[in-house]
Amino acid sequence: MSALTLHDPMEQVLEIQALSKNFGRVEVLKGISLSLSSGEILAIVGDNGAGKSTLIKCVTGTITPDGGIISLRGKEFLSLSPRKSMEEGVSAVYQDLALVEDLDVATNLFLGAEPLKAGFLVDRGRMHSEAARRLKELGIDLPSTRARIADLSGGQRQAVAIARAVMQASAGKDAGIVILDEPTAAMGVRESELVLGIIRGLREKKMAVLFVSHNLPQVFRIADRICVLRSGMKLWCGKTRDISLQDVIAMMSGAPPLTAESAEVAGDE
Amino acid sequence: MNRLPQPFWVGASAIALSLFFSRISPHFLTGENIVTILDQSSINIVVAVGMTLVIASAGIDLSVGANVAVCGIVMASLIKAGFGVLPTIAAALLTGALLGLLNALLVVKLEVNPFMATLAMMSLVGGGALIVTQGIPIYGFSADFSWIGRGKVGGLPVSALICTAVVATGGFLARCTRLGIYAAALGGNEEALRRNGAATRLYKTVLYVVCGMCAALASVILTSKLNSAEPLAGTMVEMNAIATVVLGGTKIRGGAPRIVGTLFAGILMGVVKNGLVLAGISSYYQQFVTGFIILAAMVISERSKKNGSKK
Ligand SMILES: Nc1ncnc2c1ncn2[C@@H]1O[C@H](COP(=O)(O)OP(=O)(O)OP(=O)(O)O)[C@@H](O)[C@H]1O
Ligand SMILES: [Mg+2]
Repeated sequence: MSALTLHDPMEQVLEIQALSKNFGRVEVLKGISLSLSSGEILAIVGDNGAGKSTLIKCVTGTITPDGGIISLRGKEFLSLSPRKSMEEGVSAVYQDLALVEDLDVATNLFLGAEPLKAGFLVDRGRMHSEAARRLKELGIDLPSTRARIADLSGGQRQAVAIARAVMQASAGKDAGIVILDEPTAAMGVRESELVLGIIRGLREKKMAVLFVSHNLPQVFRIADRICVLRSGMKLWCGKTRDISLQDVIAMMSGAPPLTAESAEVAGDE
Repeated sequence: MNRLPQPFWVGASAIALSLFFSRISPHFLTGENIVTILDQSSINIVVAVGMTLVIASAGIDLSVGANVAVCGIVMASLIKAGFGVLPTIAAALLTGALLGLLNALLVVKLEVNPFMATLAMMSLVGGGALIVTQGIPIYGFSADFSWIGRGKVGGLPVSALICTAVVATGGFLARCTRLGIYAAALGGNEEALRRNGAATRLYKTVLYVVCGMCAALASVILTSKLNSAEPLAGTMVEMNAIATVVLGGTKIRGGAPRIVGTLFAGILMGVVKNGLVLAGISSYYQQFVTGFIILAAMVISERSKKNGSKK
């Protein structure tokens, strides 16, 4: 197994092997395997309840899988904690955004990684100026870094969560792994375009992007590869150009898989 | 009106009430009486500062009253055994910290609901205090020790100075360190904090320890003021502290800690208590009026939440 991960160590940053997860009696993930390389955007699509968010939470260490191996930059893990996962370069925009409503934008952007002075004093001044700078860089327009999350719109909150993930991803020395769970769900057209631009920017910086979306046209525009999940199983995984939108919709909603795993084998070099 | 924070309203109310009481009793707004109010409020405020941090994190500590009693007994035993004032105070702080650690153990490790965990601790620790003392107060501290509760420095009571230091420290922790931010994050969205890699359990533990130490400091003031350790000394301490915290604008379900609000609310409660006495109103009304104020504060803050923000 390790021979596989060592095969191309610079490229492949995430590999999931036979991942399974049950909630009580319900099998939510049934032996999922997939891989992700740096500089690549992989989209995961599937109907509601297919297991997309659960898969993501296993990689971010938020939940503990019941079986399978997750390899991050060649290190194998049977289970992860959020901190371990972050240390291996993973940052995420969760579907529920994981923001603290009562705290302001800057504090949320730096949550868990507050800039300190003298080793223990939170440097609020730097936090706000840095936050403003990073938001501007990303082209995200918010009333103020001092605005409380509770006072922002749904799309603005998503923008904050995305900005945080991007900041966390660029904090490490090596290019990170950015996971986005329906990051544009509450956004209008203009904001969605902005986010797609940000995601492409991550790819240019050689980051690996795992992207969950129900917006298939969006997926087809930016993903290099697509994975289709249904009821916790991987139905198809391959290059975006090898499949049509209609086929993906058909698979998501219950048609038999396209020549099954063949695409995966063919698709991965 | 919703734009102004609750601490502002509480502070304004304290001033308005003071003016009102000064019309009833000319003695109310004298320097001497103001000092008395600060002195009388200090114990409650010291406990409430620690409680503010715990409540901000969506926790609660019902055991602070029992903590006050036990620390008093510890100090009495040490003084009787011939220890000096400073080691005695240090021992009280250590006791308070240990009780806080026990609370944290129950809440963080065993995942007992904070209300139930600290309710049980309140009974266990308070019961322990009664068993050990057989319910009999311990008298006879040294003069050095009673100076803390009765002495003055530059015209200000030592108790009020300790209280000021605690408020300043609490405000500093809340405003300038991760502890304050994480208290609010634990209260607002603990899972979000955890997912961002913060050591949520460590910070929660520290919060309960700090709260326990505040109770211990309050016990130092109270015990020296009474010049005796009384096993029932902590009665209602937890209720008053919780009321003060909520009145000060820290949300009972967790959120940003409002130390300044707690300070103003503590003073407001002190003003009410003192004013009612000076106005010659039976002390039975005190609790009644306090209850009324808390209700009013809750109604106002719930309404402003509905108008102010979504969710
Ligand atoms: N903590 C949990 N406890 C019990 N069941 C859960 C839990 N989390 C998820 N599930 C179940 O697991 C299944 C997959 O959920 P998941 O959130 O991964 O789906 P999803 O593909 O992200 O769906 P959506 O498109 O709606 O976001 C669902 O049936 C859900 O009810
Ligand atoms: Mg989901």
